[in-house]
Amino acid sequence: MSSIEQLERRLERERQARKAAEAIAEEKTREIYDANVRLQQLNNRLEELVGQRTTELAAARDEAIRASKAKSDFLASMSHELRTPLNAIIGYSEILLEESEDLVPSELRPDLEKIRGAGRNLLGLINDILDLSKIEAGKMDVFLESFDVVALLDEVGATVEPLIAKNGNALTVNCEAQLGMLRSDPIKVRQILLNLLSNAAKFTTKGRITLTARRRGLSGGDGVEFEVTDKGIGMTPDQLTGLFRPFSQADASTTRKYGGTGLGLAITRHFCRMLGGDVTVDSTFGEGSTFKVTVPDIDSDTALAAPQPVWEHRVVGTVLVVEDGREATKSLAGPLTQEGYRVITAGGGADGLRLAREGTPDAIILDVVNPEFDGWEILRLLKTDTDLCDIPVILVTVLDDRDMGFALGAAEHLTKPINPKELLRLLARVQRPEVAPDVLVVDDDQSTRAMLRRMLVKEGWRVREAANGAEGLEQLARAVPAVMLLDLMMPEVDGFEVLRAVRQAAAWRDIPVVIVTSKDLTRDELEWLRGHAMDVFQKGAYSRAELIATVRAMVDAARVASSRMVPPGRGGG
Amino acid sequence: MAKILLIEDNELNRDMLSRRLVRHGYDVLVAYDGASGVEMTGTELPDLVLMDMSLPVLDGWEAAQRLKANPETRSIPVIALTAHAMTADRERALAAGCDDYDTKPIELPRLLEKMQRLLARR
Repeated sequence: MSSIEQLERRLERERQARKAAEAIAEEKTREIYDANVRLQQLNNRLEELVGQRTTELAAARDEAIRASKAKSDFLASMSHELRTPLNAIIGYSEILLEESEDLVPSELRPDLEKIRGAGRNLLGLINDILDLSKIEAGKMDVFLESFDVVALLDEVGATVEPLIAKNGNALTVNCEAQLGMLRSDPIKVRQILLNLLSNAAKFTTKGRITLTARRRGLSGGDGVEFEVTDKGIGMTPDQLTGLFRPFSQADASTTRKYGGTGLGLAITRHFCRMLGGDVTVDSTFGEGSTFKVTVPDIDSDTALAAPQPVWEHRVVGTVLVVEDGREATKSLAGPLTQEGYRVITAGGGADGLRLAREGTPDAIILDVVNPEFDGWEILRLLKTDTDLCDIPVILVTVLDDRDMGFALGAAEHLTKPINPKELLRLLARVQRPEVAPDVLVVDDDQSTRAMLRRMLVKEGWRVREAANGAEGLEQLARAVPAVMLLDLMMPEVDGFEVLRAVRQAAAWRDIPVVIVTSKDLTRDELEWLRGHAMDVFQKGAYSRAELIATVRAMVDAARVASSRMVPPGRGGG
Repeated sequence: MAKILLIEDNELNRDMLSRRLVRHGYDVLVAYDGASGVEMTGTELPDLVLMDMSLPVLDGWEAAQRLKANPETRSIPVIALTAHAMTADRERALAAGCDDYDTKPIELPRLLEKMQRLLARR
């Protein structure tokens, strides 16, 4: 074989080998490409699934909250309906008891007493359910007045006496003579004490129950501390956990032996907290229990804690984060979740727009820093979509981009690295857009209206005027104001009637109303007004600063309330 | 013997309370709605009116206001009876001109005490 032939053959072999190698490489490349495509598809599918699942979960949660609210409303109206026939059962058993006094001897009495006793027992339970569902539905109100603590203790003692005596117990009331007046809701304080005392009576036999009251400096001001101590069966540490939760008694056998729904302590704690105080318990199994209740003096400027719903976990709002970098998203989610926000994340523009539509967020955080990710286009799409354009957008930008962001309709901007505190502050701000709150002035005197308008406008508030009660109601129907200033003496529909109408309409019930009147008020009128209006100013007797401060406090309170009480899912503003 | 007008639309409640009041020595008249209650108060001039607040035709709040707006019936004490044991109701009742207030179900000794106090004032 010539050397040329050998050379050609080698060349041919090499060519073949290269071809084979190229084929293999090509095949491998294709495989890798296919695998990549599949992976990408899988990834997309996965994101879609996660997004879908998130939306479904959000919907399920919203549904659950709606259902819980519906349940509370149902319980409230049902309890009311139940009371009516019960009323007849208790009433007729009492009539029969009274009339059987004339019959001698009356062997019917013990049975009649059982009917009446069971009826009253049932009534108590229904009242508890009614209370709890009212608390849950946010319909339990606090009525503040100053009352004499010692007089209240006397009255509570007298009411609970028969219950205490039933198990052969005795009640001791210890109180300092100098307890004085307390400004709180006396009806709730009374019920708190009755609940604790009747519990003590229920779980103690032939023992001493002590009710103690003393003045205390409490955190957040002065107040009264009440203590109910019994020498009853006590509770183990296990039994103590969950004691204040609704429908839980120390254990199931307790219910069988002692009855009750286990609602009393849940209600007690809610009442205590509504009044700005709390209740704690200290108990030793077999030796007895001590419940300690604190009730602060509530000055008009002490804000009361908003009643916490019993079963519902409140969410401050929903935030959609649209970004490509997952790391940063995670670092945002932490502080937001901690503050009670629900965080949805979108990994891209299409996703972001879809979730903005489906997740109905209260605010969107949009990253436009990454040049490969077209945040600007998303911002433009968000702001040109009629359904989405109202959702405030916080941009994450570099400083140079800021003006462009604002030009495209962003509400706020942040620069990286993001400061969580700053983010929360901005979120709170965009959720409560700074539209000037409007104040409705209802007064038939033109010069008073003009004077009030000048005062209010100076503070940056918008003012609407109504020249009589009827016009005032018309204005209310047009839009709910942040605060209403109301005169009393007006032709035809007077201020009392307006106020009555406002307090009866669900949509208007929460409007803070300030009475500005020159009417000489009777004690009864003043008392009624105090229960229905936020404050009463007598014309000529108040300072401008006082009135403005009062209105400002109400405007601020209304804002806080509306940001806190928004139905989860769709935010305040 | 004091003359009491009981204005109550619920038959069972009306029957129960009127029977019990009669047993306690009162002369009891009944009306079934707010409008006839106001009318009867004017013609019969009872010593005291017990008024359910959720009444047909004319509700108790309105009826009480009319009684208190009329010089002839103004001095007759009115006790409002409501099923809602809420402070707001008490204040609403007092604002409507009622002299006192009690909640249903009726606790007879408590109601009797309130009645006696108002009757003694007359």
